[in-house]
Amino acid sequence: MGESSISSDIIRGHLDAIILRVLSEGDNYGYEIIKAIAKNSGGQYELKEPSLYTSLKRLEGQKLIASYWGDETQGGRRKYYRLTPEGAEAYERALAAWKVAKELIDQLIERKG
Amino acid sequence: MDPLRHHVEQLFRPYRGSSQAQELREEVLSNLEARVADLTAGGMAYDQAVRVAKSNLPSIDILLGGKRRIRANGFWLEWVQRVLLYLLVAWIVSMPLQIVGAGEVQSLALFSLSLLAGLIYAALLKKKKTAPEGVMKMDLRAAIVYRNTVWTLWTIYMIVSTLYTTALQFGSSIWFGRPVTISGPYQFAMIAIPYLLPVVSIVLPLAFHLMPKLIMKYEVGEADERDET
Repeated sequence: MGESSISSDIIRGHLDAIILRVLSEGDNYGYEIIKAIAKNSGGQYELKEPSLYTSLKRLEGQKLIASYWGDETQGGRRKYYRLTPEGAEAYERALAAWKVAKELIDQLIERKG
Repeated sequence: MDPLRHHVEQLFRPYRGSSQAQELREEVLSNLEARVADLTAGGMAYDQAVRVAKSNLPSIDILLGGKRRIRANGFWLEWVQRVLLYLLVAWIVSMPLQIVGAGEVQSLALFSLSLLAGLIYAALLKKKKTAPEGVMKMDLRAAIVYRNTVWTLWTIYMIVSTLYTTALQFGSSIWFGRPVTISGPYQFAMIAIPYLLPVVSIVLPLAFHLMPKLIMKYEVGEADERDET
């Protein structure tokens, strides 16, 4: 609880942008997206599967990402996601907005000695 | 069947018939398989990896349950039509019982309900021709819970009613030392009827049983939504 739950709440609020970032680096499927996020966080954050599906569905509904089925020769078919041009724009906007917010929150919370 | 597929089948069991669930099921399964493959490649035992993968997705209700947008006219029209059919069948089944003078009340009730359902059906049919298709929201998860609850209550009712009838009919042989004699088909019918009459109430759980199915059937699909926008 405590610190870690606060920071995971903050992360959850930016899940869509985090997933957009992963997809901006190339098309990907569910489990690999979770892995990429864990890797980007240096192993400190693991995205839960239900949150992943909810977020992907929302992003697809907003047409920021699109999905297609891969043609795996063995095992189950994988559903891949790719960034749409709108999604790429949305990612840039989210990044810019986050930078502004980060500065502002720093100013608001951090005491300058 | 391999354990992962079995787990996923169990998760999606209540949502059979939903096209949305169909796609998600395949996606969920392939991601769980990828996780297990990844964990075993890292040196974990297969059984352990399956347990870990399963614990990551214990339920999908949050993804599939909840409010669904459905086409109201089609939904209610089919629901009332099917319920009307059940009522008519129950009414017809209960008819011969009146020859021996049993089940008048039930038969009358079934007839009145059939008549009512028929009128509603006619009204809906007329509305379908004139009014545009409305969209309403229904909670799929809640509909599944109601369905299961009503079935449970109905089963309890049937058990109690059967025990009650048995106590009433065969009690005399215990309390008054007068054995029940079944001397012919008429006497047999007189004993069988009180057992069979409560069965017509199966119409009620059947009506609830339809709800989740029809919610999935008349759900506004993604293709429809594209047409709207």
